[in-house]
Amino acid sequence: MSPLPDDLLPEILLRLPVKSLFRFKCVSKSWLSLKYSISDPHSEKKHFELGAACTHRVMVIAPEALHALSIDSEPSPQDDSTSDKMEMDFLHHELEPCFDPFFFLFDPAEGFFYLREMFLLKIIVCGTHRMVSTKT
Amino acid sequence: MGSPLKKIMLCSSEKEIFSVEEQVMVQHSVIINNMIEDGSYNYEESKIPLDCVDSKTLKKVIDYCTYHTHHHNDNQEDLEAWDAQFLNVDSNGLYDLLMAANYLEIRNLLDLIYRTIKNMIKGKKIDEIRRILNIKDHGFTPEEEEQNRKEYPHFY
Repeated sequence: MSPLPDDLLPEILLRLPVKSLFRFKCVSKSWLSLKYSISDPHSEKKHFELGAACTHRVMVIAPEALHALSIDSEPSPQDDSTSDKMEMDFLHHELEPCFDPFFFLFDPAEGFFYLREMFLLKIIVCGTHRMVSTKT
Repeated sequence: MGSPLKKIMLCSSEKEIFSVEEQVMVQHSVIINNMIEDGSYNYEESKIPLDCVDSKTLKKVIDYCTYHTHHHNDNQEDLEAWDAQFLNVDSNGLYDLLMAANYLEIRNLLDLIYRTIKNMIKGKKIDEIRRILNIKDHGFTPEEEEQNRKEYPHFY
C-alpha cells in the first residue's frame, strides 16, 4: 500500500480505541503530531461524534476506588485494550460534591467525556483534565 | 410514459468511458451530485474526467454505488457480507479505492474503507503497522526511536 496522505490519517486514528493511541503515537512523527492536533474545538467535536458512533465502549467510574474501568463490548482477541483501568484520584476534589455511585462515559479515542446534565468534562488520558463546555 | 433512466459518462485515467445511471452516482457521490445540481453536466456532451482513478478502480466504485442503490432495503447483515466480499482486495486495491472514494466524496464507501484499515492495524505491534501501511520514513531520529523502543518495548 502507498503511504496514506496525512489528511486521511485522522479518519482512521479517530476510530481506534483509547489505549491504541498511546502505542500509535510511536508509529511515526506525523501520527504523534496528529494526536496533539485534536485540541482545537472543531476536531474535538468530531472526535466526540465519531467516538460515540463508532466505538462500543462503556466507561464506568467507581467513586470509592477512584479509578475508571473501560470495557469494550466487542472485544477482539488481538486487541489489548478490551478492558482498561485508569487512576482517577486527581478528580477527587473536582467532583466530590456531586459524585454519584457510577457515571457512564463515552470513549472518544483521545479523552473521556463525562456527561452530566450541567456540564461536559473532558478528561485527557494523561491525567490532566479540563472543562470543555458548561451549560447553564 | 416514464422517461428512460438517465445516464452519465465517467472517464477513467486510461480514457475509458463508463456509462452509469445518473441516480446511482448522484445518490453516493457528493461531487457528482453537485455537478448535476449546478447544471455543469451536459447530458449530450459531458464526460466527467476522473484522471486520478484507473479503470479497474472506477469499475469497483461503480459496482459499489450500483449495488447499494438497488439493495439499500436489504437487511444489514446481507449488506455487510456483500461489503466484506467487495473489499476483499489486496492493499494496493484498497488504497486505490480509498483515493477514489475520497476524490468522489462517497461517504459510506469512505467509512467502510476507514473501518477496514482500522481493523487491519487494531491491536498490532508498531513494526507490523509500519509494514501494513508501508511507512518507510517514520520521521523519528535514531535516538528518539531507540528511546521509544526502550520505554515501550511491548509496543514493538
